[in-house]
Amino acid sequence: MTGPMKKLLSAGLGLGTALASFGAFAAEAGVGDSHRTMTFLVFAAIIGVTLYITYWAAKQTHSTSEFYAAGRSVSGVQNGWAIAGDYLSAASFLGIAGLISLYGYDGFMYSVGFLVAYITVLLVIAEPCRNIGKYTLGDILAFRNNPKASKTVAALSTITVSTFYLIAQMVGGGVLIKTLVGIDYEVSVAVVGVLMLSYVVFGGMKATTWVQIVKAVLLVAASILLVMFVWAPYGFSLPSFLQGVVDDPKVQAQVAKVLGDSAANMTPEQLGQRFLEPGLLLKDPLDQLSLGLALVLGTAGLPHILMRFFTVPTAQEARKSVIWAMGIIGGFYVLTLFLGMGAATLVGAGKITALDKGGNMAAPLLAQFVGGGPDSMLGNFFLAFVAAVAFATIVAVVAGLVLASASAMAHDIYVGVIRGDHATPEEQVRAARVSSIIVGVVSIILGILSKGQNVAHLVGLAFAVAASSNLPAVVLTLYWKRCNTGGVVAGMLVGAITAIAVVMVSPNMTYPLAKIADANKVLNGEPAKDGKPAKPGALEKLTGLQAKLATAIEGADKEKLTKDIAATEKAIKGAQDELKKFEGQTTSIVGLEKPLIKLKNPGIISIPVGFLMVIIGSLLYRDKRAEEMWDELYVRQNTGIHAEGAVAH
Amino acid sequence: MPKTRLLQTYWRKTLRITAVLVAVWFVATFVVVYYAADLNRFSFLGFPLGFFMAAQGSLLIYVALVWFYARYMNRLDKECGVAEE
Repeated sequence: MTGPMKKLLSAGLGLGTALASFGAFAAEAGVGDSHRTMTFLVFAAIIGVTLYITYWAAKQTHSTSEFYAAGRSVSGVQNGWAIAGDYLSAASFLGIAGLISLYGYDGFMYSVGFLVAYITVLLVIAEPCRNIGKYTLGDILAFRNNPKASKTVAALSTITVSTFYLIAQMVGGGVLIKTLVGIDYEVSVAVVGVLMLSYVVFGGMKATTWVQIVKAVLLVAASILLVMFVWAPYGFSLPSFLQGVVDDPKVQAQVAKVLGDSAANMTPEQLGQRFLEPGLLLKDPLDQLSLGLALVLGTAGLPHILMRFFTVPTAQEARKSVIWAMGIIGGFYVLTLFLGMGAATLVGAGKITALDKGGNMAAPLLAQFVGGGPDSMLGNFFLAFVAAVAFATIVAVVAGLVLASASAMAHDIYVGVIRGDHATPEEQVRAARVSSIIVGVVSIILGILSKGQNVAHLVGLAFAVAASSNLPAVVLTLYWKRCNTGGVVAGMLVGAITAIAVVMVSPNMTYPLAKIADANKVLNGEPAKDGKPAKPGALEKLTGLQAKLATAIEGADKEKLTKDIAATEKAIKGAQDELKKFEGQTTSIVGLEKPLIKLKNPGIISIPVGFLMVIIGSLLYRDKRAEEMWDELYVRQNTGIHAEGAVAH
Repeated sequence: MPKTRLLQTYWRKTLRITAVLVAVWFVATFVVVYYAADLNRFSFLGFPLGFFMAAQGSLLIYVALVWFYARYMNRLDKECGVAEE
């Protein structure tokens, strides 16, 4: 991998850190050999079940429709569970519980944000897409627009979105298994890759669907189990549970810490109450709005989510599947209330942030705590179970992503564009399998090359590209009579490029000068400024501490000083490493000394650009077919008459 | 009713129900979040109301919205003769 690519991967915060710190956590929690054996057994059981499903599904997967859409035989209820399995990634499992444990009310905003997205998916996108589409995003766009052009851009966009998402998941999965089972990172990534490939290549959509169902059931079951433990001491009463949270000194201390100076005059009771109100986390409203827009609109444009609606036989089943998905995901997020609040009171924000600043360790720490702590059998079993669920989560999401990319390559590019839609069913299925292997192998290689990189913001970028590229093209194709090929091509390309470009000039990238300045500040301190007193540097502090240690008499003092010295030495070492790492570099990979914009999330710029380009492109271009097909689309998208249904094969 | 008239009715009703549900969705999400601190003065099931809405209330409303939409559309499909077997 080239230097720029590595740098791109190294920027940002989130899931990557989440899973990386999971590793650090397991190591610090004193994971012994007996724990490894237990973890290995739990993992083996889950892998065994999913491979059996694949074997069973492979026997029934022969035709194209069976490979891409499970023969449209998935029931609404099953599809609902599978959608939940597809959507609840490790970030929502580990991340949201963590945010709630640290920031109370504002943590929920993320879960509500995720679910809000589904309303837009259902009301505007899912049903018409199912009614006119066949297997891919390209099919939907090709209905009115020039098939070759629109399938090409749709495939490009699908592969871009899925690859960003895939790399983040592969790296996270590799780190997780490495720590918990004790095998090398490279081998771990390969294990995730090979497993996911065997589901997709042999079992197609049917195996992928069932793996997602199994994972969703495990995730919900694990959460219910933990909630039982958290809630039981309060006699399963909501008011007393909540009062317990408000009265908890750990929660009050965390709120005081987050609020800083403004908390000086608040009573403990007021501090606890503040945990249940907004404003602890969401500080930059514009950036939050930008992230929210990308999450809400991006979900509707994620190819692997759209694909799920092609697996059900009728519009009625499609609607039923959304009800189930909403119920399951909503129920899961209600459970995260207890997980997050439970972690806040039982484990405490201090211990959680000690292992990971983002709070991602809240759920695993809670599991270990309610099982009896790090030294107990049950505590370690719970930890192993949560780890295995996180692993199943990654493999299931990755399988869905690979299937989406592979169908874009095989169905849109190879069959649609290269072969001009003339391929025998056998050739199509073979193309789908070969494409899956290509996508899988590439993602394993990228995963291994990204070792040690922070890949978290790639997930955010995936949503932003989906929202800026796929969504405008799909929505306007479905609802705007004048929309045509020119608009779709212009909007998808410019929308995707804008989202990526905005991130390239944003604070997410690594800026060597800023890093060097930060490291120097740590070492040498900051001069007095704006009425704030000067801050001493770590070097100065170290000398002071050593001098004090030399004269200290009391044992307790000595112990504390030794600890402080160790911490200061660690800070100095970290800063010196940073200086060495960025020595001689002055600019980020796109040649900037500092970010051009303050915004971390590109959505608020790139989504309007995407819509605008579809409109401008359409107005500048004339396409008779797109206009003629409007009437047909109008009937079809709303009624599903002629939709690729159970009659198709 | 002739087929095209029926489809026009279908389309009009679909747009109307979508608009109504999106309005409910907007209130349940953005308005409630904006006034969360004020709503916390009221209590619901032992929860402060603003907190309850974010933690559970809005999620329940979303599920209800989807359920209502599906029921309405399934009936409309039948009325307009476009239901799939």
